[in-house]
Amino acid sequence: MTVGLVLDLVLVTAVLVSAGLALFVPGRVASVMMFLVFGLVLAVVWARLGAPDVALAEAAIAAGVTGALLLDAVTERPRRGPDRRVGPRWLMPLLGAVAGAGLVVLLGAAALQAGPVEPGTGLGPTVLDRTDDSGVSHPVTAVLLAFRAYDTLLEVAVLTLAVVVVLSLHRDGRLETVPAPGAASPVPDALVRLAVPVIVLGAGWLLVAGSSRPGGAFQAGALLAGALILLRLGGIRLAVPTGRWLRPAVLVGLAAFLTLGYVTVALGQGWLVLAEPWQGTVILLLEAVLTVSIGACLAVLFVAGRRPAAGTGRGEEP
Amino acid sequence: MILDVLTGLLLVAGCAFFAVGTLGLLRFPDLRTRLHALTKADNLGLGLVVLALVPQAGSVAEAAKLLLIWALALVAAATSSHLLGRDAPEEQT
Amino acid sequence: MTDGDVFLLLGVGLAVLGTVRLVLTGDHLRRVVALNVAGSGVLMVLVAVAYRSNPEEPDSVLHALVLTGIVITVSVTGLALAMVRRVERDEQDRQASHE
Repeated sequence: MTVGLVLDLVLVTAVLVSAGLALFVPGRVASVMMFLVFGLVLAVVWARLGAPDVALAEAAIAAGVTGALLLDAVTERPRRGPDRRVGPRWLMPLLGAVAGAGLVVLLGAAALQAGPVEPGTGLGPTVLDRTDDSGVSHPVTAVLLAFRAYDTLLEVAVLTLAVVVVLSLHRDGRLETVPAPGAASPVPDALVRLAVPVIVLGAGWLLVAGSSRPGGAFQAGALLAGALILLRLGGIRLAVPTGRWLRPAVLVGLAAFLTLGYVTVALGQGWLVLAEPWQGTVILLLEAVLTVSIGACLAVLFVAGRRPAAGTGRGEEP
Repeated sequence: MILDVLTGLLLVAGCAFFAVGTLGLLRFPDLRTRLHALTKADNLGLGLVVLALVPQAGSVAEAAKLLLIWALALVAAATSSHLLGRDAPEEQT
Repeated sequence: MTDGDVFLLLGVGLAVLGTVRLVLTGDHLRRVVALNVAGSGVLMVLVAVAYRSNPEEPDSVLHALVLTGIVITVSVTGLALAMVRRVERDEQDRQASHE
């Protein structure tokens, strides 16, 4: 028990210090670096709190993909001009500290008042009871793709929408004008050759494992996105779809999900209601399509943030 | 029992390497010497920690996964320090 | 106070810290970082609530909700960063053309 207490204390301190530094350290680069550390510490916290699915997602999506996005942004412009300051130097930090302390007290009290839910109540036990009916044996996957498939559909829609909006910042909504790096020098090239097969294997495993244990389409998609980004940075231009295949790759996940919804309605089962005996297979197939699409979406988000070649991508200045 | 003692010793040794590497990171004057401290000490430190955990693994597959983590971390650390060392501007002291 | 409560309060703390920084900084890129920290705090509250109700088998509905939250956060982050970079490029180009 005491060892656990010490570990918890170390964990809480690490979270607070890394978050505090990420937020308040001077300098953008240091801030982004500390945010990456924060993400990794957070993954340990999720594991500590009995949420291995969330830990995997945090490591792959929040720390991994978000880290790549932030790093690429911060290396383009490592510095920024000084902030415009309102009022005297001490005013804003003081206001922030007072408001923050007040909010912590209010929200903290509210959260604690929410009271511990009695064991055996809430939705958790119901899900555990009914997981066997869903065609998969892992409760989180059952919630995501069987019980609350609606939420997941909308989640895929949000991701797709974000990609569509980002693409709209480019001329014709295409990415061919974003220059791709040339062939990598031997050392990073060796890393790409070694790491990409391992990552893809890991993504496949996460996808299949998601039916019976922690894992699933989103974690696998994030890994796939990492592999695609590595390939593109390693000089393989075609790894991330930028031209003809761009829109199909981005849209296929949402399209498959919607099609499934309409098929279930046509079969008279109701919107996204899956029945025996195909449901496990259908869920796995849907997850496979989602993995490819999520991987493509996240990789496209990365590429679309980069600067297009001069005089092609952006509209002409007046 | 012997395995537990082995684990403990290796863990302590691994943590010592991490501590020394961190000390080097903080104390060395420029990027390349800091990289030197970090990569050597941390790779060894992580290796010792992984080796410490291998006897505690429940199965061969679990032990193999631990070793795979080490191998991947080695490759990644080697590549990133190579890139940092190569592309760093000549040191401005 | 149980260990679940500690992480619950930590989540509240992170959410508030991130929000305050989000409001107070003028640097767009750091706002994105602050938004991510604040979001992580909210997710930690959810995970802590799931853990508190049953440490042995936490509520999987809340975990699924948090997974959704993480994916939404990365979508928002990607969109925000693309816009921030575009805005800063335009500022830079405008400065360059003035000189």
